[in-house]
Amino acid sequence: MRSEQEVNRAVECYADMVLRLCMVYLKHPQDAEDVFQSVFLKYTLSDKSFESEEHEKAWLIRVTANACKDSLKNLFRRCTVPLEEAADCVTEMSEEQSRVWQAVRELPKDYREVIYLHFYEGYTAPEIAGILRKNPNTVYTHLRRAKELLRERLGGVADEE
Amino acid sequence: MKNDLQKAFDAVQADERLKRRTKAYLRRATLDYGRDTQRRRQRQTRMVSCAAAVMLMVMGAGMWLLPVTSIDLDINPSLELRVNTFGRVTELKGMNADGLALVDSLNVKGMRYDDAMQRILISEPLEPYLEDGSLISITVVGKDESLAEQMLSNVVCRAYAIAEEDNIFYCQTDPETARAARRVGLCVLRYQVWQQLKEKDPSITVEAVALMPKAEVMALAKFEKLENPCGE
Repeated sequence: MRSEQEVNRAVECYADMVLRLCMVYLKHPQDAEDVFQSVFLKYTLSDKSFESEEHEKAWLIRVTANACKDSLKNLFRRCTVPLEEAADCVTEMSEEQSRVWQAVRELPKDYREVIYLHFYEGYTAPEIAGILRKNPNTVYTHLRRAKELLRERLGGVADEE
Repeated sequence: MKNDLQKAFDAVQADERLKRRTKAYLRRATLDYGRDTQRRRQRQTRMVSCAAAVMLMVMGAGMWLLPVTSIDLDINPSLELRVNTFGRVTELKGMNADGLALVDSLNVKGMRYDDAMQRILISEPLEPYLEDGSLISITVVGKDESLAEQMLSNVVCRAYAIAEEDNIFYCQTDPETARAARRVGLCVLRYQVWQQLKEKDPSITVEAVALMPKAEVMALAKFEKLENPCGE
């Protein structure tokens, strides 16, 4: 088990990223918070040593993605979709930001994760494939389709990479 | 769109309340990062140590009280010193009427067995018995042969300093032989003489040996050319 000091550092460093990923996958903020806490509990109890901060970050992304997918499989998960209820976790959003979030959350879940990891965390498709242990071609496909869907819903040019 | 996405994602941030709740949850879930477990373990260790200490004390007390060897001193008064594993006298018993009469006046409990033997032999009540050249027989009874031998050597040395060597007879034996002697009503010395005499003359009875004066027993033993029953 890791020390409290080490865990607190990880919470401070990665809380935003883990929460965003949870929000990308899960519609209810309480589910997101449950998964958020379970990810850090897993981190606390894990004895895995990381070669670098990048390695640690990638591990947390994979653990969060898997925990969210497990939560989605739970038949008893909450099914309501009130983004507004996430006020605890979300700083005040402009109308435009809410519209973008809504568009992202309406994407199929495999598209949501790659959109976040690519556009926000800046990972390339092969890197995302490595982290999520997916075929790079699949990631490329998901990215392309996600951009197309977002372009349809939000308008504008998707490829501003 | 990239900028819009980044701004939208930026809007989601884990606030301090969520972080605090999470840290509190992790402390609970890990029992304060094992500190509870550590404290519990320390408590358990302390309890086990205390229990072990109590057990050691009980065992120590048991070992102190439990005699592992006995020393029979037979002059006319017949006495038995029971000795624990630490070589200390746990009990002094009178084995005949004269012995019983002496027990209360001889305070040797807790003393080393050889010191106790010396104190008994120089004690006032025993003086009259030793003055007339009485034969002294000393028998050490114990399971541990080498320990019994060592003890016998130590007590005989003390006896030599007080009485005539020729009047002192001694031997060591195991508890089984001592019990057999007790069953037929003889002291170990007489029992061993009887056993050896019986080999030459099976008609010799226990009663005959029991009634013989000690000097006669020893004389008979010499007459029969038996080895000294004490192994000397």
